[in-house]
Amino acid sequence: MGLELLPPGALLVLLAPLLALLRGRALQVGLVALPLLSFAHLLLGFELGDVATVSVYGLELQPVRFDRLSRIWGIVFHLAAVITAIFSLGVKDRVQHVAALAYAGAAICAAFAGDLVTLFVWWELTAVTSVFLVWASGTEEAYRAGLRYLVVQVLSGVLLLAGVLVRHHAGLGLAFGHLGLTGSADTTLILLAFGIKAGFPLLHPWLQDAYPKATVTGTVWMSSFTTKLAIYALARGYAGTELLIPIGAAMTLFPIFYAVIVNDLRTVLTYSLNNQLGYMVVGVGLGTELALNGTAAHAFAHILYKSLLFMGMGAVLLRTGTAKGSELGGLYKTMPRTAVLTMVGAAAISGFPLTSGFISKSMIVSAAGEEGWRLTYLALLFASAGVFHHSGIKIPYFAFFAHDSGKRPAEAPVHMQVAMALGAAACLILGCMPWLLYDLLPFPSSYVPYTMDHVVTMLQLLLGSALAFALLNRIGAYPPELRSTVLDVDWVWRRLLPRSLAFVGRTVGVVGAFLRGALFGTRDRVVDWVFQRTGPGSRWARTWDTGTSTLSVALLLTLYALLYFQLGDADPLVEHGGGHGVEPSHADDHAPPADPGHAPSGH
Amino acid sequence: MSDPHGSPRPEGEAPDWLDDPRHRGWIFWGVVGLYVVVVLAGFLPYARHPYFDFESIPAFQALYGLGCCIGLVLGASWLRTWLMRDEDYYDGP
Repeated sequence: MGLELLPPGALLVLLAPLLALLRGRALQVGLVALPLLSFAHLLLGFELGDVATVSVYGLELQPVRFDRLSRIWGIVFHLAAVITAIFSLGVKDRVQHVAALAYAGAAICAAFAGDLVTLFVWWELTAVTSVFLVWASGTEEAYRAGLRYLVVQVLSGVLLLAGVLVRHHAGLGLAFGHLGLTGSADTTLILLAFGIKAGFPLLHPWLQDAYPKATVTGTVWMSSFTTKLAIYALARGYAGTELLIPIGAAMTLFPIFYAVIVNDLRTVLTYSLNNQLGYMVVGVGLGTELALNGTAAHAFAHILYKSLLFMGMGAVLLRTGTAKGSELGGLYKTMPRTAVLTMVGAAAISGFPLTSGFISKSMIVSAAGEEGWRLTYLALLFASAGVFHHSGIKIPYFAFFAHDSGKRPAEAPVHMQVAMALGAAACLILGCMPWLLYDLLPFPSSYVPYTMDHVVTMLQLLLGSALAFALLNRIGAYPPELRSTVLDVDWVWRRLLPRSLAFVGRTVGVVGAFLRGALFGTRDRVVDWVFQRTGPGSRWARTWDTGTSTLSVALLLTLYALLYFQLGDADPLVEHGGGHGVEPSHADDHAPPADPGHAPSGH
Repeated sequence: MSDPHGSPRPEGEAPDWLDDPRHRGWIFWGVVGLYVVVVLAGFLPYARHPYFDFESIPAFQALYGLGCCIGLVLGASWLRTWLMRDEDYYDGP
């Protein structure tokens, strides 16, 4: 088996376990060197069009397919891995490092899978490696959330595998190219599998459940890979599937309402992540070259600014022990660099001109306009205003400004500042030099983001959003940050189903107890009734003295004799006396001597 | 800019520029001013390429952004009455 079969990212998966052997400085060097080595492997080891195939058990597999679509995902995944590795340098827990690098590697490998079986293998590996980043928090809450996360992720893999098997059985082959929603079981199952990981509405709550419970660095790792891998898979398999347009539009909208009212700022960011995925899903659904370019560009930009935002909130969590908006505020006084870098990420996610979000998101919005999707266009504009509202303003405002919490934490560790600065630099460089990104896109791009019209309308939208925030805050109508849980769809399986099952269990218990009571109660009453009349102490069990017994027997015998002689005129002893050979019992068997009907007739 | 927690500023720490409510008021009026500027900028003569008829309404996106976000906050506040529970809602048995 040659090295050419190793896709980009495979080095990360293979070498990550070595980190378990390292300590101290060597561990830190290894943590950053491995993603860099893997990145070099991608940049130097492959050319566009490279394909590697291998036959395993008669199946033609394609572990490497290096084309423009997979390349851009491979590049941004590596950038995220390098930046997040630097952010994680302070973590001593080697399990997290091994899991994180193997997870990143698996996601990168998945992006280069040319067939569905290879995709499935890496798809599942991203699930089983990333769950350790949730569990590493060490709390009971995180343990449970990790289990729920794992169940959902593995379910996605099982659906994918089921779809692949149906496909294979139908003779459609294993190639992972355009699948399209044909109405057949295979494409539906695979779309569901992708949809779970992409956070489709109703399939999304694993995101908001697990991500905020992962470790400070774990959430940053997770925010970059799983969902964007799903977007890649959708772009590869379902470009132009119109059903994805309303799904994506809904995805951009519902999370922004949640983002306004949830308290934990990492949960706010997870909802806004879900909202950003909606843009990409719309882009995939539109399926034009501009839209798919927009999807790829937005995924690229999004990974960088979203990880920057999660890094900012991670630094706050590390230094203050909380990421709850209700307990934060005023941190700009002692964490000014974290505040400024986070605000660069906030500006980028909002799509401010000169940031990466502006040059990427606008491609998708323009594609929706060009294709005449009126309501979708309005939804995307609404979502753009909304995302500025909660990610652009709410996150920095409640963490770093707002009411002074009195907390005066130290500035973030230097390595975290370096990682955030790299992320912020990427946001600004891409915003100012969009061609760097456009050259990497799947299709040749002639899109011009900086037109007067576009800049003015975008600023109008954003300042409208800012004015709404300022106005509502000033008149006291802005909902305050409250310590609370806001219910989402996972309420169904975290509360409704368990409670329903418990209710059914209790009902069965009560009915069973009633039936048992009725059955056994009746039995007991019968037994008691008999017992009272025949048991010890009853009339029949009373002990009589010998005299009374003798008298009773004598009276009975007398009564018997009287009756006998009164009713019959012969003495049975006399009658049978002549035949001493005849056993008296014989006569007793067949004709009871006391039978008044027989005795006279015998004579 | 209400301050429900009082001012827990550590003793001896001098208030800075942003701690002054007057300055926070300035920021508010600054936002209003910028809003007015971009609304007016929408009337400048530059090449427009609207996709839909509603985009020819002057300053459409400024009005739309403001209206949507007020609706967003009011809608989300209303959702709280239905969806908000105690912080340890799921922690119980």
